[in-house]
Amino acid sequence: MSQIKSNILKKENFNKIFSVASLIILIIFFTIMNSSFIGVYNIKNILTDMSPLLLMACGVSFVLFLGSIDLSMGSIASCAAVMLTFLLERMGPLAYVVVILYGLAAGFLNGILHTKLKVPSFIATLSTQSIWQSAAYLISGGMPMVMIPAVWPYVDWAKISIGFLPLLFLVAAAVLAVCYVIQKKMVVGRTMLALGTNERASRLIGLEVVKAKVVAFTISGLLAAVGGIFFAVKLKSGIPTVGEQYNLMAIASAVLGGVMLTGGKGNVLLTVLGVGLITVIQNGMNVIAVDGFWQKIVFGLLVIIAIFMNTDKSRRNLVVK
Amino acid sequence: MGKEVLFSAQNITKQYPGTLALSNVSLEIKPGKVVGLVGENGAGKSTLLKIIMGIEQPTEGGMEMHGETYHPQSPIEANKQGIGMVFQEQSLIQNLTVGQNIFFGQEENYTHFGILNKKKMYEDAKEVMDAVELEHIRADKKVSTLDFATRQMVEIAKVFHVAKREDGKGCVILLDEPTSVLNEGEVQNLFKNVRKMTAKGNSVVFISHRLDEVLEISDYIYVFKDGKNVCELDRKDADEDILYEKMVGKTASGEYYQIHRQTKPQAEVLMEAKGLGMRGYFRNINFSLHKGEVVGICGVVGSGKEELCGVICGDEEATSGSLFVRGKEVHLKHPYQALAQGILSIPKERREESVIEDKTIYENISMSNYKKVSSNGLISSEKEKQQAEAYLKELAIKAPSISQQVGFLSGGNAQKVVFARILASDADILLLNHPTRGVDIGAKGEIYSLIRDITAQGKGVIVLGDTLDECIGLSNRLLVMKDGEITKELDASADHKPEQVDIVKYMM
Repeated sequence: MSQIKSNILKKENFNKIFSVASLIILIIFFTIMNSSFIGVYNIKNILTDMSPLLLMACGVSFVLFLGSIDLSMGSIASCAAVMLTFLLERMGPLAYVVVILYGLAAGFLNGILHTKLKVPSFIATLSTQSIWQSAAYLISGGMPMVMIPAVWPYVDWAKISIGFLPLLFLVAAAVLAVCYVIQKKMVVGRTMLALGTNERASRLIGLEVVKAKVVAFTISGLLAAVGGIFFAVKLKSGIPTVGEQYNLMAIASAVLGGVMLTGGKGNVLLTVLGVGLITVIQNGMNVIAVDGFWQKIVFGLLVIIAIFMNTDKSRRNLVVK
Repeated sequence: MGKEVLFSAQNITKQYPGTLALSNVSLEIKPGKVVGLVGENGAGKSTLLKIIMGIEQPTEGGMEMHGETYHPQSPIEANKQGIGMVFQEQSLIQNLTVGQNIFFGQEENYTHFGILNKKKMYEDAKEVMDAVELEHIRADKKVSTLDFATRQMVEIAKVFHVAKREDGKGCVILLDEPTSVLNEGEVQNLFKNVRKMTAKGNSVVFISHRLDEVLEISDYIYVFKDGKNVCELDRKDADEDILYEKMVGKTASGEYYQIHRQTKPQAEVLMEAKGLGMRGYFRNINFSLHKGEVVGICGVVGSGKEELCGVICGDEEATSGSLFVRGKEVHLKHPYQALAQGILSIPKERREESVIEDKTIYENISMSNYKKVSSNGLISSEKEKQQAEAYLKELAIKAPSISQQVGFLSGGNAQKVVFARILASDADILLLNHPTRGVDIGAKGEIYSLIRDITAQGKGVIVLGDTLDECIGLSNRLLVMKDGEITKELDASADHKPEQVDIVKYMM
């Protein structure tokens, strides 16, 4: 029995160890290739780049805890970015509130589709992905929207940093801390992890299973929208495809941080490992000037490797709910 | 047939890393006999069966079948030699039909040019089923549409069939806890079939936690304790007390069900059902549960008792009638709503329905009442752990620590964790659906004692017993259900316990 236990412990830790080790090796590698990689300027850059991905990885973790998946995050982020750009000119800072409400509503919709209409999360969020992507194109007219100088005062906060820590990163870190509290200390978070392992038992134990699911999707939608806000204020523009790759990267980050795709296991804090790894690879490839199209191939492979390492092959049901 | 031996195992030892599961065990199976194997959980019974079936290899020792060396590498090899086993966990494939399951692996006998002749297969399957008197089960039905007990019977039929293939020579059938999901009638049917098998010179090895059944069916009994074979008894020389003493190493302490501790129900009514019904399952159910009372519900599988239980704990919705809790009518759609009313159930299938196996003991205990371990709306791990430590002591849960995953605990200890959760929940209307299923005898006694403690605190308990005997022993009052209705209400106060036969006649 003790042997089985230690095997499982090893299995769970494997991804985290892999992530930390790779992170260190990569930092050394990129620094050797280009010494400016580890300069203050680039570190700030990396932390800023990390922020939206950190939010999204954190949000999707909750959905992954359920054993479900959220494929709509990327397009919710794109749509949020475009919406913010569009609305800032028209209603000023109130635009932030509207976009945040949009994120909550989009996530809530995913939750309702999945729990009330019993659509598998894979299909439900694939459909809403398409909807929000189109919405982003419609709002922007299919072109990147640039923020007019009049609204710059509303977005300049994104440039603030405290020491070498950008404000965007600090906000993302604060969100991460809140998510950790939700996971560890709140009934709804505990319920997500319990039902991810065994939904039937969780229900009979007296946990509010449906509520926990809806909350998980809602958090995911909200953080995707906040991620979109980050993209928009960072770039001072609303690009309708800005979140495209981020869905995959968010899921990969969570998995690299040890979240199980089969549900029931993981820790939002550790998504920071996956996010760090992915951002360093991305930034590093930029620093040593790797072609953008090649970068996508690298990410695709990285996701497959991450998920392959993380899959508990002893379990029978590998189906995503 | 005299003194000949069909199967024998000599000095079998099985060493797992860190534990000695079997130590120098010998066993003889004589033709035409039923051999009972008893022992507490972890005594080594299952390991021995796995070795006989070729699932595990012994570290030392050898086996013989029909006087020849027998050394199977897989269950299929064991089957070929005439040894078949009904597993504790069911091994039927749910989305195949009964017939396809019976002839699973032998499809080539039924195919012409690659096309399966289902008609012929079902005809043959019917014969197999008829042979064990299961004419009422259609061979073309999908296994997933059958209830658990029926599936078990199909599985037994299948194994009987595997054995029958070997004509001439006798076979050995291993039954590992085959009766845990069967009701009295089905158990009798099983026993009839077992006797039929043995009359033809085959042998059956029967494992059960229910000593009365072992005594009823076995010709001789092996008792296992801590991986050793402590004794071999002839049925004539054994009774429940003797077996219990050999298994546990101490005599059964006084009254098994602790009837002397049975509390008198108080006047206050906790819960009342008025004309409660669920379309297609049960109708017009009227009964009340008082403080400090244990109400037992008896009935065969399909009598509607499980569904009634489901409706009360909020897992299913009633379609007619009403349910009152402390005088107020309630409409329950989810178990959490029932829990808010103080109703909580211990479901039948522990692993699937009442524990989260990959979570720790302390997390499992606090799940039904997070308020108790929270401060300012946030769960405190400190409080959770303190609570778990207290219950670990109180209920004598055997575990290396409260951080152990529940999935690694034995049946009895896992069930005690469930009871700890129920106690921590502060619910006062408890539905115990087979609370001692798959729990060894020592832990059973402790659970009975817990139920007495619970009623002494003025809580009400509804019991669906693992056996009729258990139901009678625990309850103050018994409701007998048949075809979705209560056919009889019986008083079962401490000095007035009804006999099993009196109840069975209302069940059938």
